[in-house]
Amino acid sequence: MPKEKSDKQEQGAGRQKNVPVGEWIVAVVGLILVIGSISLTLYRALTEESTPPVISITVDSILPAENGFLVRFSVQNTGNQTAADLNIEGVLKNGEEIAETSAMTLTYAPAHSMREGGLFFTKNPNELDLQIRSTGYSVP
Amino acid sequence: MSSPSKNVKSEKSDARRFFVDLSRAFGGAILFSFPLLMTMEMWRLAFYMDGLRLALFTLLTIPLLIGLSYYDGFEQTNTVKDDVREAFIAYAVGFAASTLVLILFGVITPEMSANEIIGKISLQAVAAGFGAMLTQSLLVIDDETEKNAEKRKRSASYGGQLFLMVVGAMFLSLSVAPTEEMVLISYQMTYWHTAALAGVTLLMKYGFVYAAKFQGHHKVHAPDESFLSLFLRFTVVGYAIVLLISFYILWTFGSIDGLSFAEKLKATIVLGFPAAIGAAASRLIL
Repeated sequence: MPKEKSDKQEQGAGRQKNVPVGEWIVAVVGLILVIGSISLTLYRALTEESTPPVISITVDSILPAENGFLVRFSVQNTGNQTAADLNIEGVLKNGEEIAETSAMTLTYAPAHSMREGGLFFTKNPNELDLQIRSTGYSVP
Repeated sequence: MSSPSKNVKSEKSDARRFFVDLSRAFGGAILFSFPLLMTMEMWRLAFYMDGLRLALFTLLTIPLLIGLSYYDGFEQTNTVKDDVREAFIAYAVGFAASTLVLILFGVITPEMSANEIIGKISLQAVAAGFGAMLTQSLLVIDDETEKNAEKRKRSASYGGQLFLMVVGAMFLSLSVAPTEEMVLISYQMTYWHTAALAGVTLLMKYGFVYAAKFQGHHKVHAPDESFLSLFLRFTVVGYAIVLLISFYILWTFGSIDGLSFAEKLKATIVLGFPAAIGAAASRLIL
């Protein structure tokens, strides 16, 4: 972009400026942040293959809730792709027979991240065989 | 001004002045970026947007900040070195402000991956960095600095004016660009609506140029410049810039991926509406 010389000089005469050390420090921090965030995103973009989401669900706790029980779980996506609208279904089995099912949708399970959620059951999950799995997702 | 005897004192006051400028820039960063900090699409974009596009977005911010520092920084600048330094300070302030607010909002939590956290912050830092840089005109305190910035803006060459249009377009369109409404609005519109919107946008843009002409803001063109010349040189070229910026921003956020060309164009014209207001009013808002 063009700079007017006369304008510059005019301003320079107005105030002689000592640049405080702090100013340089903040500027260098800014430079590091720019280089850091650019190189991190570039690194991830260039090195990672776009593999589908890999979802693993672990039960954290089973708590009594109003009218039944709450199963709290965490969802870990170890894949490189984010899963949107991840459907999660919990099944309580009594041997081969399905005693109860509950389902929820997790808005996002970002790549390499963990999210938490919960499912409600009326029957006691401690006394039955509890299985939680994801049934599907969409690509954001 | 800085005679040896006064050196220590002026150094101290310089440091104090810098602290004040920094606080002001911090306020400006939040003032400009809070709509985006409170937009859920922005939080989500961080984990599904393309890494290369995010890197490019951050990279392109720096020259824009440098240029903006020249015309309108939060400090008076004398050399290119000053402008470069101010640009990085603005980015650092924007980064810090975004981090603070996102933590306060619970958008960033410890169980998130570093990649997700940094993505979320660096996406917001772009807008916040602009805010930090624009503080000068938003929260003016110093008359002299303001006069200087005004003079530079008014005496900006044609290229300089186009540059200010670019920044103005980005400034205003960024806060709505990531929302789903941009594409949704274009789905609701027929091609007749789209053509009409483009026409209205052009007319509005010309209105701003025309009004600015009366106020003697444009030193670049002669006062008796013809309608056609003014229309072509500022309105049409400006609108072309606006559409390019709109398209670039929508592409960056991945909003128009997978759409047909005609649908992409529709969404671009929709975002072009706020972008054109930003470009046209750039000398008012910047």
